[in-house]
Amino acid sequence: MSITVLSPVGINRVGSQPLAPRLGALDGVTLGILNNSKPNSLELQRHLVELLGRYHPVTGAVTKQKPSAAIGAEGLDAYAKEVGAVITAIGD
Amino acid sequence: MGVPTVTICTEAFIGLAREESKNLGMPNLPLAIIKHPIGGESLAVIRQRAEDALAQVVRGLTGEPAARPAGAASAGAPANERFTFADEDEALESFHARRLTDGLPFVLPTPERVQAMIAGSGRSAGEVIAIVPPRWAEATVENIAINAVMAGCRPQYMPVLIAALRAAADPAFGLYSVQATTHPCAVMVLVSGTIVDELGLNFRHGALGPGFRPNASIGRAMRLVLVNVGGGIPGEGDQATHGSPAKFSYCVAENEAATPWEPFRVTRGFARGDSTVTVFSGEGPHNINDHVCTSAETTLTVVADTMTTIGHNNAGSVVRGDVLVAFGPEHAHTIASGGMSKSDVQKFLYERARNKVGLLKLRAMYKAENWPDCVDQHDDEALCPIVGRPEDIHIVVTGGPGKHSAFVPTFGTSKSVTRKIEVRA
Repeated sequence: MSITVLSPVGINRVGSQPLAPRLGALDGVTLGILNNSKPNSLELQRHLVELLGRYHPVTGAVTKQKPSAAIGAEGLDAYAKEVGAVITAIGD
Repeated sequence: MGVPTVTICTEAFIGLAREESKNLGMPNLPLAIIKHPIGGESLAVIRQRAEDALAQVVRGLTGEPAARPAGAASAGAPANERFTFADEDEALESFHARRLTDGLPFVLPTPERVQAMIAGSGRSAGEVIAIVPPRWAEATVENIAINAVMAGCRPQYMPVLIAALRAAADPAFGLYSVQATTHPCAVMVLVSGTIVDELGLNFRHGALGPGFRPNASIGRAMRLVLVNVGGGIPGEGDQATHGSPAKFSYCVAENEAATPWEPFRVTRGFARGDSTVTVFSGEGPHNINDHVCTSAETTLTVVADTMTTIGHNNAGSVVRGDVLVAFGPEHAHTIASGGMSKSDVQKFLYERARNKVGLLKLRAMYKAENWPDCVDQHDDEALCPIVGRPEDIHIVVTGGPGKHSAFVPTFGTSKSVTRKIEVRA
């Protein structure tokens, strides 16, 4: 005898979010380092910015560090006005 | 943020990163993927990882994003969909194959059973109770009821589940991180009030263990909602390194008759006549065995020593988290007989459950800005508490006879949340 059951899965109703337009080049861009305090993550980002600076005339970097990976970042709107692109880290 | 962003993650977290970007409506969010891990690696390795990420970062910030992949965010099966199977065995096997279970046998959520469960809530089926991460999906009364049926709940348990989910969805609890972390925290549900007796929740022998339907099925239903609605599937939305037996079911009730202090809910600011549920991001309980001490001070010294280890998350997240001490009735009475109030106990443990700064530095989870102001981070002999305030050491009495208590460390950056249970049916 057949049996009918209901799916226990929930619906995600988050709509499609557009990505910010990408940059043509990194020349003159102030980079953002958005860091989540995972061990070694800031060292990784700092070295990455150093490498980027060798090949692209970026104008510097502004670091914003969350006290913990488990906490959402605050003040992102203001931070976004200080930087032209952001490198976030890390999922580890 | 309105500016181009690229996110770095290690290979082990690609699945979660992809799933999360999809769940937040940005399935083509650029990622830079490097070898796992970076934690615990040398600076030379970290520099190599940065070189590995370089081209991906440039491409992510300057190139055209990849086309959006097709597909809805919800995985496994569409919500509220009805499936028809040839027989019960086929239905059970299908749910297991789709990873819609905790791996144990379950009750099939037929429309009739689900309808009865919804009726137990006294609410409409479509009412949204919470948004559950990391899928960020709606937990409606119907969704909760479906999972409650699967867990073996009775309809009258629904108000507890609904209050627990509302509590877990409070931003202070930080459910996204609790769900997705590598840490083995579960969502512990603590019930206080007359509803404990009304539902037959166990608070005596084996209060933290199996054998009692209300505790077992309410805790299991919470887990199934977190998995099936929230997407906390091990290895996917749940990245726990080991997980925990506590993730099968973790529902505890206060032994109010045996507590020498005010009930838990009253300490949390609710009326004595209320019934409440409190959620903790609890690890499995760690036993505190003391068959010797006869004074409050010596008993609490044993408790404090058990709380004082550097491996749990509270040791590394001192200013943000809270913990639970579940006293057995005999320990509680030994302590109260010495004239100590619950507040006295909290203060005693806050002062005594501390780790040396030098020892905590070994963990390297600490960064300069994470040290609480009350601790001299430059003095390796200085003592650092495991929580920010005495009242963040929560005290409850549960269990039967015996000289045992339990310490429940938590995720460390979440705060427990209490909600009143509203019975409408």
